[in-house]
Amino acid sequence: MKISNPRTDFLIKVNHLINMHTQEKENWIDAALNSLDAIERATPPADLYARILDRQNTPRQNALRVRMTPPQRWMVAASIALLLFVNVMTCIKMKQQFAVRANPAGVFATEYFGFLKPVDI
Amino acid sequence: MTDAEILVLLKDNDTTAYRHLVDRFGPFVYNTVLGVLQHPGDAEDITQEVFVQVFQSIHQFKGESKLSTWMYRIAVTKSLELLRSRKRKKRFAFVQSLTQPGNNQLTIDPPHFQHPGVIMEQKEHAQYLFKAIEKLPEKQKTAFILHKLEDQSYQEIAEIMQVSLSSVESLMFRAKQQLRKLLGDYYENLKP
Repeated sequence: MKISNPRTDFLIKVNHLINMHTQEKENWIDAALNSLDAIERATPPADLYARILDRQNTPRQNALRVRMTPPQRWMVAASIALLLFVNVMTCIKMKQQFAVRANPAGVFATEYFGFLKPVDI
Repeated sequence: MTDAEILVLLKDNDTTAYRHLVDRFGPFVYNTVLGVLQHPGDAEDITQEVFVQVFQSIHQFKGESKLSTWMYRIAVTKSLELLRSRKRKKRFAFVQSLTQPGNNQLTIDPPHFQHPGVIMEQKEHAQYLFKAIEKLPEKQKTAFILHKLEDQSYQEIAEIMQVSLSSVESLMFRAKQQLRKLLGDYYENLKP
């Protein structure tokens, strides 16, 4: 005769319920994923062609358009070029300053001769 | 009428060819756009835009791909553009709602979409599936919709999306994995 252990029975029941829930869930997911299998193509409105022609003949008014005259374009291009030039020059100058500081003899010479002669040596 | 014949007539600005193109490809385009946007009004609007663009740029079409492939590509691109703009508006509305507490109309999600072609018994499941599809990344969403709604093969999807066949396989695999996860979460919320 089999002796039943209440704790084991309880665990078996819980395990069974979990398995059932998991199986039910997987079945539901599969059903959802397959729900488009027999789908029919949605049809557009019958007057689609007429609406397309209407739209083609009336350009959209609310589209955002930036119109610039040629001088304005040149101004924008010149501004961008100036900005780039200033940035490049700053980078070059900073690089030169770092190069001088990295060489102590160079720093000393610059400061010493700079003190004696403010003009270029 | 074959694709080549339609093309010749379209390039000659033949109005019957335009009509023929809309009759032939209208349902394909509308169905794809509707699947991506999940909103009939927006889908109609984008379908019209697709055809207007096709009419305007038909002279640039070189015939390297099928006409249908080219049209699917335009439809998908335009739909995704609208989705991006919707997301931007939503973000903007959210920021606005932080500063103006009374104004939060755009942050409210629209009700769940019901595709008109789904059979009655599957409507509930399909509703959850579309809700999950909406959350997929753009490329996975495009591949999944073209395959499931338009019954396109992986090879055709690869041509439409201009990616390799293995990329489409990978996109589909990841899309299904992601959908399983999302649907699992919905199930848990549905039946606690």
